Order: sequence, then C-alpha cells, then structure tokens
Amino acid sequence: MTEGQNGVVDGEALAGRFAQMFAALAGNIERVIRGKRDKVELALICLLSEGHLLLEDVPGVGKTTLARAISASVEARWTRIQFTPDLLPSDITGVSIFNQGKNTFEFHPGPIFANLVVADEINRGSPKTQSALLEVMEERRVTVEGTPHPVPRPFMVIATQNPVDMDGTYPLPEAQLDRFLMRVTMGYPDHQSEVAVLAGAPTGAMLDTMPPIAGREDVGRMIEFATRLHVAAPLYDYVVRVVASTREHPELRLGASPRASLALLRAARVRAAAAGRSFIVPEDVKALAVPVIAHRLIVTPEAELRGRTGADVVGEVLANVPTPQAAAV
Amino acid sequence: MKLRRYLSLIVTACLTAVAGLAFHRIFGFGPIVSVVVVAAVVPTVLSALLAGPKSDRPWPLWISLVLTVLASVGTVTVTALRPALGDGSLPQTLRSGVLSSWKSILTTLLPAPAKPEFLVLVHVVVWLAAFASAELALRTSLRAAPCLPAFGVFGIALLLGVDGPGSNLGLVAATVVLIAVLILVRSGEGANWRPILLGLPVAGALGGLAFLSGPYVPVSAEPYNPREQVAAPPPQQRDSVSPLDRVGGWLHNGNQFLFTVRGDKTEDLRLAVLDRFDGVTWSSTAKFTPTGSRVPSDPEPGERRSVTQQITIRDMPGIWLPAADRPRQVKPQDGLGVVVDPDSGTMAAAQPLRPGQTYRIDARVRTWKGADFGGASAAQDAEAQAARQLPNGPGASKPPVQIAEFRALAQRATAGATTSGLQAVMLSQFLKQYAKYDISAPPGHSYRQLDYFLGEARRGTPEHFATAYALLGRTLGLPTRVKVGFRGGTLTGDERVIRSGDVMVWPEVKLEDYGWVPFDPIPEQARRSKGNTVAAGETQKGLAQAQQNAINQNRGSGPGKVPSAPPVKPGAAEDSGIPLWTLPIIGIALLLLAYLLAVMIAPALRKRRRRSGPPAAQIAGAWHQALEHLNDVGLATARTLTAHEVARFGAKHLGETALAHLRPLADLVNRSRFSGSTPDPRAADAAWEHSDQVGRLVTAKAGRPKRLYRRLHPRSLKRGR
Repeated sequence: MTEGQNGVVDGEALAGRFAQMFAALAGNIERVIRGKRDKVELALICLLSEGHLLLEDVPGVGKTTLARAISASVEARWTRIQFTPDLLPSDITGVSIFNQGKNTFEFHPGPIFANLVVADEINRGSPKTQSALLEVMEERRVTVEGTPHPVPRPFMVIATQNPVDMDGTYPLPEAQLDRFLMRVTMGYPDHQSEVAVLAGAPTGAMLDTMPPIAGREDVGRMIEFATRLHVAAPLYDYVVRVVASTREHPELRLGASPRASLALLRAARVRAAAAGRSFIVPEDVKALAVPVIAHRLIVTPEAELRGRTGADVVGEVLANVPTPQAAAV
Repeated sequence: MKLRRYLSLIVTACLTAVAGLAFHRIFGFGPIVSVVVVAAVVPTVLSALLAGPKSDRPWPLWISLVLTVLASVGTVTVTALRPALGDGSLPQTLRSGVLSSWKSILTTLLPAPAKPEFLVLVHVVVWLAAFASAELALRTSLRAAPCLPAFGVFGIALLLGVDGPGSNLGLVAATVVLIAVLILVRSGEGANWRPILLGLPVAGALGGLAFLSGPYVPVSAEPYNPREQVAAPPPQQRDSVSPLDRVGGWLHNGNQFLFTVRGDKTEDLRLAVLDRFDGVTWSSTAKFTPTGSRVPSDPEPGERRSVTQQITIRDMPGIWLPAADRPRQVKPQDGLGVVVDPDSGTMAAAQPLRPGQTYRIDARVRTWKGADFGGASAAQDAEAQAARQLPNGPGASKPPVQIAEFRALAQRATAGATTSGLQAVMLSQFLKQYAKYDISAPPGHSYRQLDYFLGEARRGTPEHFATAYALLGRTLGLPTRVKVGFRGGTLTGDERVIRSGDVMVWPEVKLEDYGWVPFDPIPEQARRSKGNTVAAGETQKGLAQAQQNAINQNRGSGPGKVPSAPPVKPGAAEDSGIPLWTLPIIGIALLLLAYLLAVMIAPALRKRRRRSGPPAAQIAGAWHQALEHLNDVGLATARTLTAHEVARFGAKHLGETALAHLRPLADLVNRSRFSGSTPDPRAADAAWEHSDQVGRLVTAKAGRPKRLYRRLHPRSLKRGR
C-alpha cells in the first residue's frame, strides 16, 4: 500500500472491497453455521492470515461443518482426515509407489494435499502422526524421499479436538499448539439458532448446494492485500507489550513466543481489512489477543487449581497494558 | 602496756571518726554519722583482734591488710551500698564510688545528695585511715604517728567540702583534744595513769584554744577551692525546645494545667534565663551542676525577703523548674534530680518532668524598696559585656540592616535620657504604649520577625515585647537578657494554679549596683486579658514604683520625657483603617476567589489549548475533551481502553445517542492516530462537534449541579492534556 493521501484513498477502496468479500463469505458460511458469526469470522481471519485453526469443543457443535462450509464458499478442495491411534504419517502425506510400467517411483499425494484439511480429533493420532503435520503446517510442503512437494494455496489445517473425552488421546505438544494461529471454541448455539437449525434444510444438502463466493485466486489476493496494511509504530509496541506481559505473569509457567506476536499482528491486519480499514487499530489487536495467544500459554498448577485459564490471563493482561491512544498525538 | 595499747586504739578510732565527720560539709551530719562510726570502729576492732590478746607480736601486716579489705567490702555492702544490692548495680556503684565519686562531688553544688556511691568514698577513706591508725598504734612506738591517717581524712574532707555549708571548728577542737590524749596515752608506761589525768584538762584547753582561734587563721578567709581546678562537665542540650518557643503555643492553649504552688501566692515564677541571642533565637548559657539542695546565692546587694513555695508538677513539659527568683534552697522529693546554674540560679530537672513531682523552694526575693534607677549606669563586667552582643545571625558576615532601624527607634524612644537606668525605664514605657498585646501574633523573635513586630504589626505576645526590648536595649549598649516564667495564676483553696496562659516573658537589664533589674514593657492590657485572680506581688509593686520614681525624676530635671510613638511605616493595617481581624477573612476570601477563578478558567483554557494546533492535535484534543466529559458519568480512566471501548462505555451510561457521536469520534481518533495519513481540518471540526455533543449529553444526564460540583473540585485543575 502506498502512503499519503492518495495512497490511503486507494487503500480504503481496496479495503472496502475486501470487507465486502469477507462479509459475503461470512454470510454464506453462516447459512449453515447459525448464530456463530464471530466464530465464522475468526475462522475466515485464520484462513486469510494463512494460519491454521484449532477448533476445540464437544462433538456435534459444527466443527466439521464449519470446515466444509469454508471450503465450499471459497471453491477450494477440502479433505478430511480422521485421526486414530493407528493412523500412519504416510496416510496423511502420501507415499511413493513403484510404477512397473514406467519403471519409476511415483508419488501418490495424501489427503494433506488440499486447500482445506480437516484433521478431525487430532489428539487421537499418535505423536508421530501428529508431528507429520508439523512440517506441512509451517513449511507448506511435504518432503518424501528427499523430494519436496508443495501444498496448494490457500492452505489451512482445521484441527478439531474434544476436550472432554481424553481417554486414549495424545495431547498436542506445545510446539504443535504454537503452530496453530488460533484456538476457537465453538460453543453450543443459542436457543433461537438451534431452532432454526432444526427447522431448516439438512446441513449436508445445504453444503452440497452452497454456491462458492470466491475463487482460490480471490482468496490469494485478499491474503496479499492484508499483508500490506499500514501498521502505526505504537501498535507494534502495543503488540509486543501484550505478548511480553504474558512472559512475566506469575500465573504462567510458559508465556507466548515471538511467533505469537507475529501471528497476532497478521490476524489483526486481516481483521482491520475485514472492517474496511486500511490500517490497524488497537481494537483489532485486543479483539484477537485471546484466540491467538491463550492456547500458547501454560498455566501454573496452582493457578490451574484456582480455575484460571490462559484466556483469563490474557484478559487480565489486556486490562493492564495501556493502549496506544490519541493521547500520544 | 596492753591496756594502754587498747586505749590508744580507742583514741585512734575516735580520732578517725571525728576526722570523718568533717565530711558533714558535703552531705550534712545525718547521712554520714553511721557510715563514719562503722568505718572507724570495725577496722580498729579487727586490727585489735588480729594483734591477739596475749601476744606482743601481731600477725603479719599483709594478713591484716587482706582481711581488712575483705571486711571493708562486706561492711560497705550491707551498709552504704544496701540499696545497690537489690538492683544488681553493686559492682558498678562500688567501682564508681571508689574511683570517680570525688569528681562528681567536686562538680556538685553542696550539700551533695547522699548517694550510695558518694558514701562509699567516705567509708573507704575513714576505714583505711582507721586501719592505718590502728596498725600504727599497734606496730610502732611513735606517739603521734597514729594521728597522721586522721589528718589525711580531715584533709580530704576539707578539700571536697570547702564550698559546703557549716563549720569544722568543733571537729578541729575535738581532733586537737584527741591528739593530745593519744600522745598522753602512748607516752606513759605501766599502770601510772596520773600524767594522763593531769594532761586531760590541758588537752581540753588546747581544744578550746583551737576552736577560738580557728576563724582567725589566714587560710580560712580565702580557702583553696579545688572546684575551681576541676573542669565542669560539658554543658548539655537539656531541652530541645526553648521555653521561649513554647510561649506562643501556651498562650493559644491557655488552659493547660502546668503546676501548682503552695506557700507564696504572689511572686513571679522564673522558669529560664535566656542570655544569648544568635540573631534568630534566644538560648541559655547556663552550666548546670547537680545539687543536693543548696542553690548559690545572688551576689548582688539589695534588700530581700524570704519566700517559701512548694511546687507540684502537673502537665509541665521540658526540664525547666519554675521557682521564685532567686532560690536559696531546693528540696526535691520523689527522686527528682535537680541541677542548678550557679550563676543565674536557674534550676532544671536531670530528667524530663513527670506529673506529680514535687519540690520545695526557699527563695530570697528582691523587694526593690528604695531603688532608684534614674541615676544608675549600665554594668561593665564580663557578663554585662556578653549581654550587649548583637550577632550578625547564622551564616551572615555583615550586620543585618534591621539593627540600624532598631537603634534609631531605640534612640527616639529614649531621647533625653541621661543615664542607662533612665534609658531602660523609658524604653519599657515606650513599648507599653507603642504596641498592643495580641496572642494571635505569629511567634518568633529573629531580627526579621522583630522588624515586622516593631515596624508593621505592632501587636505581639510577651515574647515579642520582651525580646524586642532586649534587642533595642542592646542597640543602646544596655546589657540585656530575657526571662521566661509565669505571672499571676488562679487561686484554688490554698493553692495557686498555674496554667499555660499565665506564661510571661520579661527582659532584664544589668545596672551597676543593682544587678539584673527586671522591666515590664508589656501593656497593662495583657494582665487584664488573662483574668488572673492573683494580685501583683510585692516585688512587682516595688519595681514599678522604682521605675516610676526614675521617670518622675527625669521629668523634674527638664529635658527628658517619654516620647510618643514614632510614625510607623506606611501601609500598616492600623493606619489604613482596616481592623486587623478582617485581614485573615479578606485573605481567605481572596484565596477562595482565586480558586474559583482557577477552576472556572482552567477548563476553558484547556479546551482552547486542545482546539489549537494541526488537525491531528485538534482531533486528539477533542478526544480528551470527550474523555473529560465522560469522567463526569463515571469513567475513571481510559488508559487501557481502546477508543471503541470508551465509546461503548459512553453508550452504556448515556444511551445510544451518545454512541452515534462517540463511535465516529473514535473512528476519527483511530484514523488520525493509526492510519499514517494526515487528517484534514474538516475532520477536526467534526471531531469537536461530536465531542461537544457528548458534553451536552453528559450535562443532560449528570445534571448541572453535579457537573458544577465536579468543575469546582480541585481535581478539575489537574485534569490532563
């Protein structure tokens, strides 16, 4: 984005188009995920930030539906991997098979080669299988027998996990949690939304008939636009202050890493664009701090006994770190 | 032979005891008789026992020495040191008694208190002398040799008690008699008692001769005084607060029950003598010495009358002891330790005063009958010279400018006075008329404060009148000092109750042939305003008469006349016709007005400042203005809130209408601050429009009285950018 009066006007116009597209996508998805506009928007922010989403909730609240609705809305290819203890890494990444006819090994891509990958019940997979996701989530490519195979763009892993039934699961390690841009809890729909779900058409049928709102190219341009949004210097300072405060918090055993700062800023840019702005404001940072930072924190056992969670700590940090306001002008 | 030996031991014991009684000039007879008798008899008996009833050869001397030391320690422990036995301080008391009690006695006004450590010295000296005398009598044939230790005891007692009361003539006579008897006893042999019987009248005659001739011995006229050779203990800062500094507070809080007086009910009671002025404060140069009861008398001549008082402390702070001037004897009770300044007779307690402490005072008070200060000149001795000093003040290298003004004023006040005495009287009369008594005057007596008192306010407390008099007097060359004390009081039954409001300060001038003469420069109004029930004392009346005589004499002689008050500096409240009591009210009103102006103008100035500058600054100013409005509906701080969070707060407290203004204002603020673009003036105007709308909504919501209250609150002066 160019600076200056004209540049801002141009940026504003682009941001306006970005916001229209974002709203259309969210509206489309909301046709099947009712009453969860904020979750839908967070998921879209995650997609347009090129991040990965961890959906944590009980079964039946629409985690998989959300992933399918996103893929349908952006005309993207989606796959679903059901994680089980006997799932092998090659079941995800793919395998090389000898072709007798051509007398060569041919790579058969696994389900990871899709725009949207739903990793269902990711915590039921073995650590070895979970770690197979690490490279592709961060590097956006799969290396098989020394040959890198890039995944398509956009690429987003939507992992789900059930926080209640923990028997026979392998909790995600901190390193892997850190690779998710956000962790979102779906929550139950409110009464009115649930009634609307019952009264409406079956979700499966709706997903099959859902019209795509944007193509993959459109999504790529939106991603590109968001990365070029203006960030005022005090906001960098604010982001760092918020993240750094978690490292000094007495109720935390592990604070957020600089990767969290980068993720927060990236997501804030998309949120600003989604609001039709060509610049970030403190509200963007504050609104995304909990979903972006909370899952990266490890609460001390004492605080945990008191019922404190990472989200509580982030909320407390936000309540104490001064926001950069017009006072500095 | 053995009988003569034992008889000589009786004589040496008596001789030593008589010599030991010479300590009576230090302690009086009462405390020492038992100590001396025991210390003289016990070692003598011990030596006699060790010598054996039959053997002509006594035990080796070292055995007697060891045993007598042990016996001495044991005896003194159960006699003089019995009080120290109970509290565990025996070793310390014994040590200080033997080694350093003589120094304490030499630096104590006699009679000294009969402290155990002092009596130890008497015991030890008499015991050793008795032991030495007995051993000399037993082991030598020299007839007069056993007398020598007694001489030593006598010498020590004379030296330590040379300044003490009483006489040793009787003891000297007894000593002469006993020496003669000892020589008689040790001169004869066998059972021939005739020479002894014949010699006894001669011994008596010698004693009588010594008694009669003693006063004529030249050395007794001006005896050598070892006290003059002993360095007095360094003066201590005994009270952190000068009594003069308490005067203002006492007058303001006049009902503090300080002490009661039984006995004399009229005389002024002196508390402290302050003779040194450093430019800021008056202080005392008194060098206090412990005393048993005696207070050295005033060397100045003049008729006096005896006054007896019993004073009981109630709520008296500090260490100064009030008493009629000048005390001759003080009898403290309840363990009250008293120290005295021998020069001024000022008394103080060794420890801070406690309620209930009582002491009895025998004083000799000047009556001033027949005094005539008209012809008196100022004293010229060393003390008077010191009392003329006018220091430059702390840290100043040049005399303060006020001194010249003071001198001019003093010269006008005493114009026509031909003597120092007349100057002192006229100065006193002048101040009585010149200024008014006012206990609300701010305390203080430095050059600057007295300049204000004499030049501007002309209202003051006794502190101001007395210190101004002393200072004016010094500019004329009069030796002056200041006394703090009490005058009047309330008669309750047979007691005179002194409260803090009875405090008085007066100056004194040292005149030749009269000594320190008190003056009263305080207007009569002071006495009337206190409502005392105690009439003026005989001394005050005599003094007033003497001073009136001086004035009359001066009028009669012609030129001298008490001058009228000189013109005061322009601008004084008295001349402007504005009553003094209105000044504080006017001052408060002015302060209130200034405050109201500040709280009303400050927000307007702040808004003007916020609305100036480039558009970005104006938008920020509009935001701060809106925040200030929202403070009135409970927004404590916006430090950690984003602009839209503030907007939501406003909507919650002011309704959705406010959101319609706060949200666009928040957007404008965010855009101005974070977009990286420069806002245009229209945006600034829009921001202020929204901010003003928010202000109106807040006024409608909170109500004008509440907004006015918040506007008037001091916090409105502090509201930030």
